[in-house]
Amino acid sequence: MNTPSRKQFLELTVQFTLATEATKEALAAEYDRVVLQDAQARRPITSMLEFCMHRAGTPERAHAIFNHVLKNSRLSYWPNPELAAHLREDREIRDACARHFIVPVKASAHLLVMCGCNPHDSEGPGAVWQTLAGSKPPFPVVALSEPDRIRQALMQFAWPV
Amino acid sequence: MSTAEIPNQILNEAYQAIAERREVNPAALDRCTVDEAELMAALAYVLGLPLVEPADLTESRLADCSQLAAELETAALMEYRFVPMARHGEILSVISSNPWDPIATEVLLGYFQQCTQVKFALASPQCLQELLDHLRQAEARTQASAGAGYTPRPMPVNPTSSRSRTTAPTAVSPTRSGEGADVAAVVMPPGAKPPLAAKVPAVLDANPGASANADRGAPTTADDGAPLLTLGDVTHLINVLATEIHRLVQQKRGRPSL
Repeated sequence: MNTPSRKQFLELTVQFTLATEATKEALAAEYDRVVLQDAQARRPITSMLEFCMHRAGTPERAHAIFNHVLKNSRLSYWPNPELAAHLREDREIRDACARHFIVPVKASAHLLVMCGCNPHDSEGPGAVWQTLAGSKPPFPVVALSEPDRIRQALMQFAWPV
Repeated sequence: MSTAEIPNQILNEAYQAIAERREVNPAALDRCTVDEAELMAALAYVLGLPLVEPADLTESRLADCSQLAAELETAALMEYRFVPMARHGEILSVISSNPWDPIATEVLLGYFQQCTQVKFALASPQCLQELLDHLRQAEARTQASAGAGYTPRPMPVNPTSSRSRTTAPTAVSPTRSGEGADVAAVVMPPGAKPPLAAKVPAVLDANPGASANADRGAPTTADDGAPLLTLGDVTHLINVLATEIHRLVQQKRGRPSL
């Protein structure tokens, strides 16, 4: 588990009592296993927020977890993330996005808007931005969205069948 | 896009970001060479807000915006230059062309009293106008299909709420009408919606009851014929509204020009 995921894990498990002190590390290990399986299957990783929302117990609690993340972040919300169309065939971007569970929704000469679900994560946006940056890198902006919507947007990349 | 409405500090930060990106001295940056796309991108960057462009006004987003904006008056949206696009619990997300305006935030929190926090997405004035035009057309279609009768949306009059002091004068969520069922019961005649400013002098007339009746018609009656609102209730509500309008107008006029 990388540092941003660890931060979000600790924040959410404490806030929503997803695990006790005794079971916390077991839950963290379970997340690591899930992410490893995702990586081996060459698909977008399971984000920590998604992992915690699945363990919330009820849809209401899952929404509450997302709302908590949104409320306690300085990032704005992006409602319907869609992959910037001209990046669909870009494997390098696809792999970076899948690794960090983040999707570029707007990538113009001047601006790169990315959608993620972990406000602690600066590695993901940085990785995508560096991959896209040319001689005059675009201004980066990060917004938050629901994990299932980000996953749908990530699936708009051309994935090997 | 006119830069006159952008606070100097934000504008300077945007130009500084552009200069750094171009690897030139900020003082040496020729601002005439900055086109609108680059300026909007820099503004989005320094404000940390995603940028909504005309291409982002998809059917699904327009539907989301229409649903939330249906609770508000389009005239107020145009005045304060925002359009609500999503609500998550206590967090309201809006598209705005002037997210730096604290009054707009207060107005939003007045409208959406369940919300305690506003998150913005930036849009250029042109893009926001496009969005507002769409909403206005949708509103016109709704009114046309509603037939002859016109029932205005209820007004956010809640004197006990500290936030309602900053509420813009015309609307509140129908879901909140239960909090003030008496307010929701006011029925105006067709075409009575827009003239907020024009109503102020009439409401402040020496005989407010008469002007209220003239403007709004007789108070609504319940099915059994008993009035839900007395003339005094209507007068009180209109005066509260007028006070808010006056205060907001003064507040806006009193701001130093940017």
